[in-house]
Order: sequence, then C-alpha cells, then structure tokens
Amino acid sequence: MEPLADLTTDYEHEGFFDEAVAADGHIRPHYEQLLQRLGQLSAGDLGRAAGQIDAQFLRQGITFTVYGDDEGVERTFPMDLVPRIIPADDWATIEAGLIQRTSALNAFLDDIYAGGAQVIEDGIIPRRLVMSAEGYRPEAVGIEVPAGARCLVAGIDLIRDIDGTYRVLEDNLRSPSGVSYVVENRQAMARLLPNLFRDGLVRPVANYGDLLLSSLRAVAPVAAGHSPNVVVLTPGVFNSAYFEHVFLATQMGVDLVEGRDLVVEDHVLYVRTTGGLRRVDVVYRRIDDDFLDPVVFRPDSTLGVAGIMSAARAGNLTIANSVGNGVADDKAVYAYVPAMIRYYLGQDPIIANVDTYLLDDPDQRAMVLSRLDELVVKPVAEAGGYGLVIGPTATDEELAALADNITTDPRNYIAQEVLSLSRHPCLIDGAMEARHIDLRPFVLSGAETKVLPGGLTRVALRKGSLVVNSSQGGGSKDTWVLNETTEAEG
Amino acid sequence: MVMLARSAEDLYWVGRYLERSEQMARTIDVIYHRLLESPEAEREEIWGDALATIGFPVSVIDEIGLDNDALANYCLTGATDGSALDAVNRLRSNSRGNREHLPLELWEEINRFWLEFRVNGSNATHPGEWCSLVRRRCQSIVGTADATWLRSDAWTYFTVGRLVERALLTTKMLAVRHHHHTEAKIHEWTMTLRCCTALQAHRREFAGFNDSRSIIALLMFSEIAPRSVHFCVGHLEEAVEQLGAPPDARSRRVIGRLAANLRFGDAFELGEEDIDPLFDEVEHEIRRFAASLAAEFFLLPLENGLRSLRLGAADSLGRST
Repeated sequence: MEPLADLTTDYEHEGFFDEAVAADGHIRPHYEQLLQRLGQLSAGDLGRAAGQIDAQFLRQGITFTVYGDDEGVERTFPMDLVPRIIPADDWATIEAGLIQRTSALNAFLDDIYAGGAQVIEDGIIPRRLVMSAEGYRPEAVGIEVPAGARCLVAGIDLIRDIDGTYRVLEDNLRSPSGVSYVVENRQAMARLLPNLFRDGLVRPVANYGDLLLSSLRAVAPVAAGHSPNVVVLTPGVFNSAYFEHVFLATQMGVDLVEGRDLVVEDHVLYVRTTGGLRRVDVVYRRIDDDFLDPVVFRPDSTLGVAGIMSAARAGNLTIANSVGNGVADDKAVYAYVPAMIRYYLGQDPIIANVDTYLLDDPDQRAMVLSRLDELVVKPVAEAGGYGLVIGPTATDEELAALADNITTDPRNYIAQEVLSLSRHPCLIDGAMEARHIDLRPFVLSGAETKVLPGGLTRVALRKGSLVVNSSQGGGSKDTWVLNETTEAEG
Repeated sequence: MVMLARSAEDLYWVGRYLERSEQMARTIDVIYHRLLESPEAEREEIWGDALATIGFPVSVIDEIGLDNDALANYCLTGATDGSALDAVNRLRSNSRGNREHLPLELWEEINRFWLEFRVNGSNATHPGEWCSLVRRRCQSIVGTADATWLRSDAWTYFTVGRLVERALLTTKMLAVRHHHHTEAKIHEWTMTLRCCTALQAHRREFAGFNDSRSIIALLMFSEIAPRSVHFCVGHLEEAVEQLGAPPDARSRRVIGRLAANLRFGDAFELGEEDIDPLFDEVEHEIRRFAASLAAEFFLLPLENGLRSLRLGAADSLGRST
C-alpha cells in the first residue's frame, strides 16, 4: 500500500491561497478529518474509484455534447475525488451575500422592464449603458413577472482572491447550467467513497428539483390556480446541456418539451398531448432569448414557439428565466451591481465585486491606460475569454493596439485587476497537487429567495491553468457545505 | 391520463425497435447456426427467406455475396438503414429523448446495451456472439421495464409498440416460411419455431409434426404463446382501451375485429388456399391499427387533415425519427 503524499510537506503553494492547506503548511481544521480519511485509502483504491466514476457517468448517460465535425460526441465531465469543503459560518455569509445580490438584480430587472427604469431616472446607472447592453430586449418591456422573480435561477460565479476573500466574478442570469453535476457528483461520491462522509454533517443537495419546482409554481399566473402546469423547454437532444434538461424535468416530474410540442392559440400556450392540447402556465426554458419566438426575435429559429411572447405579455404564461435578463449580466453593468444593492436595498454589499474599471469614464480610463501592463482587459459582450488581454503577459505591440481600441470605443471594454483564483488539492495521477478552482452557487427566486448549499466547484485540471470550462480541460468537485460550525479557521 | 404526444410516439417506437432488435438477433442466430450444418445448395433460399422476414430486399445477396458471415454481419451491423445496430441506435436515441419517462434503471440498461453493442460488439469473434448479446440485453431491458416502470400511459405506449412489432414479425415469419413446412422437411418446421422461441412450446402442445397447420395454430391463434399474433392482438385490444380510446374509435374497432377473428378462428379449419390470404389480411389489419393509433393519439386534427391530403388514405406509419 502506497500512501498518498503528505500534504504538510510535499505540497506546493506557489503563493496562492489554498482552500485546504494554510501557507505555513498546516491543514485547515475543517479539512483535517477528510484528509485523514483520504490518507487511509491507498493510491490504488483512489485510482480504482477515479476509473469507476467515468465509466459510471458514461453508463448513466451523464454527459455533455461536444460539437464535432458532423455528429456531436458525448463526453463526461471529469470529477475530482477530493471534495471541497465550506464551513457553516463561511457559508452563512456567502448565502446572505447571494440572496442580497440576487434580490437587487431582480429589483433592477423589474425596474428596467416593468417599473419605468427609476434607477436610470435617479442617475444611479447611465441610460446609455443599459440601452446599449447586448442583452437588453426592448421587446420585453411591459411584461410583468409574478413576484418580480426575473432571475428565477441565477448562477453567481464566485472566486477567492489571494487573501481568501470571496468575490463575485460574474453573474449568470439567463440559463446558468451545471446544477445537475452538483447533484450527480454528490451521488457518485456517496456511492464510491462512502467512508469520506462525516456522518450527517454534509448538507444534502438532492432536493434541488423540489426547490426549483416550488419556485416555478410560485411565479405561475394567478389564473392558473393551485396546480399550474410547468414544463421544461429544451432545444433538443443535440444540445450540449441536454442531460441537464432531462435531469431537471425528471427531478421535478414535469414534461420536457421541445418547440415542436408547443403551440400558441389566442395568447395561450399549449402542449400537444395524446388527449389534445393542454394549457401550459409556466415554462422553464433553456433556450436563448434570440431563439424563443420567431415572430419577435430571430425569424429563422425552429427551436422556439411562434407567439410565446404574446402569451407572456397577455399574462397567460410565465417564462423563466425572464426575457431580457442579459442586460443585468453584461460585464459593464456588473460594475454597477454594488450600487444597485445600495439603491434598491439600502444595504452595503456583503460579497464584493472584483475591482472593475469602466473605460467610458474619463478618469478611470486615464488610470487604466497608465497601468495597462498590470490589468486584465475584457470586451463587455464576449463570453468564454475571447478578446481578453492579460496585461502582465501581453507584448508591447498588443498593449499599444489595445490602448488604441479603448480610446476609439471605450464602452466596449472593462478592465480588472489580475485575478488569482484559490487552489485546492486534487488527485492528479495518484498524487495530490494544487489546482485552481471557482464556485458557481445556484440561487432560486420565487416566493422567497433560496440558495442550494454549495454549488458547482469547477477545477482547472491542467497545471497552472485558470480555465475551468468543461470544454477546455475543466473538471468539477463535489462541494460540501457543513451543517455545524467547526472550530475557527486558523 | 394524457401525456406529451411526441413522447408517446417515441416510446411506442422504443417498444418497436426493442422487439425488432431482439427478433432480428434471434432469426440471424438460428439461420447462421442452421447453415453450419446445411448443404450449400440450400443457402441461397434460406438467406432469401431470412432477409425477407427481417425486412431486407433479396438483392442484398447479389451485393454482399452468398457468404454466411458477411450476410449475418450486414444484417447485424453493416447496413446503415435497417440493421440491428440501426434499431439499437434508434432505440437508444428515442429513449434518450424521453428519459424523464423512463425509470432510471431502465434507461441505464438501454444505455449500457447501446454502449456494449457499439464498443464490445466489434470484439465478437462470430455473429453468434453478437446475437446472444442482443438477445440477453433485450430480455434484461424488458425485465427491468416490467419490474420498475409505473403502469402509466408511457408504459402502455411502449407495450403497444412491442406488441405491434411482434405481431407483424410473427405474421411475416409465417407468411415467408409456411410453404417450407412440408412433411419431408421437419427441420424447416423446427427452424421457424426456433426463430419464434416456440419449439419447446410446440412439442408440449402438439404431439410431433403431423399437420403443418399446428405451427399456424401455435403462432397465429394461440391465446397463451407469447409470440402468437392472437396473444399480441388480444393485449393490444386491452391496451388501447386503457389509453382511453372511445369504443367507436377506429383503432378499437380494427383491433377488436381482428381479435375476434383470431379468437374464434381455428387453424385446422383452414384450407391450403385460405392460408396466404389470411396472413395478408392479418398484416394489413395490424398496419391499419397502427395508423389509426397515430391519427388518434400522436397527431393533431389539423395534421391528420394535411396528412390525408398528402398521402391519400393513410395506411402505414412512417419511421420515427
């Protein structure tokens, strides 16, 4: 039996904040028991378990589709065997911060689309910034959403900086995905390494479907009565996240429908059943705004339903998440979320943003231009790291070109301090090595705002990499929120 | 109870593809092993029959050549359209598109079958191994479904699909094979029966091979042989009532009439000239039932209108996607 490496001696920090091992080499208290139990397993045991996970996910069809040449290939999302642990008191703060942030974002969206945009009138956010955001949908203005729960499901990405302080990296308010892996990872861990679980101390995540269903029912139109008909709308089996759509429908016990199953007549949405048309009250859609309604948005879309926007506007249907939420997760609008929290809630933000500089502000622009080689600059509308320039590693020519671009079109860029994601021990080829991680908790709005304990911890499995995306060598970890307060962190 | 029309249709096809995979594997297995101990002269005729029963044109023999392994592999995996692998692919993709209706254990069983057939199947040393893999897996899928699936409409559509496919395949088998059942060729009788897993049942129900109509009695009229047409049709009659079709719905009238004919029919009263028309009639009625089912449960009235405009009198179902 070859024991695992001793984390107190053989483990490299390289100056980053590590979740499990403090800088002086001692194990943080909330990780002691886990690492001790892991240490009782041989490298062979863990290797076997790691091998089983993949086979199990494949057999269960827990896969995502990578778009290939002609036919999508189904892949599994690798799960690392060392769970991430969040102590109860840390979680209490995170949870409060997420509820606060989501409430402010809901209030902002409701204000913009159904409240006359008071936030702009009051000079909190520049009108130009809102109206020019790519995710702003004037077609959605005037559509009411019950309880104002426009971000019915929000995925708020958190990172921990060099001191271990949690910060919001970005908000995902359209169709945040990944929650199915949270639940499936937990199940796989419990089956493969049951000994790791500290008896009853890990908060369960399996009830996500029930939470989501009760949120969706809470936003049904009043006319739907006590048993609204809820469906999940998917683009279909070829969508990369199809497994998650199945998972959600199954966990809620509702129908998983495609655009071709739906029809709108007289501003009412119906699903085609074996007994004729049946009315739909709430649709949890996993289709982008652009494809939702060919009458209102892209006319070439075959994924959506003609007239679905008219059903929502007539108050006969609630679409979740609401149309036009993209205006609130725009990277430049992001910088104003702390101001929204102060404006709508009269509170100070519990979780801070990553410091962000807006380049159409002349003072900030001047400062950024003078420090371009120290900052990260991102285009506001791009996702997935496209167009991103990292100052410290960029060449002089790149920086000069960037400075030109910023001067020409400042609204198109934001600048941030260089991030340092925290690290976590991972089992890499039978040894413990540190890898960068982030966290995507899932926040549900409805009658009340709730947070699923933990969330999806994504890991950049490549050494030194900061990219946690599943398509680029990213993996995930089971995330444990502890039930009881452990000893104070050292 | 109602359910999503697309899912109902997909699950109906899950049942049909499942039954088709199993029946193809069994037929090819029987034929492949029979040919190992048959004179070469019989080969062409046997393959011709086999291809006809599982739905390939006889011209495949000209393309592939009269080689046992090559033909068996063509039917199992080679043909892009209509092979057992094609049926398994469709079985799996229809299941994947309706996972929320399937018990988790059942979905995993179907997915495991698909993974094995695609991956491990290529390691098979001879077609017989493929065939036993397919048969074993199909049976375990059926067993898992039976033990875990809520008896809701989803289950009923799946069952209807299996029964329709099985009734069609048995009818086809009899129609193609019946004229081989002569007194001099008892091995032809046993081959037909083995393709329908009915040899043992035949031995118990009828003493010896005296009158070839005993095969028709067992595979067409028996109330208790699970692959007999009467057995399938009787259960279809119950199923369609359970699905809530009104008594005057075409699906119920078609299947009820056929069930009555089979219930009160007697194979030993059939004259030689009655036999082929009987098979044609039965096949035609089952297809008419399937088309009625689609019109009543899977399509909207508007689409039925369009469909009849385009197709004239609808008489058969297209392949599901």
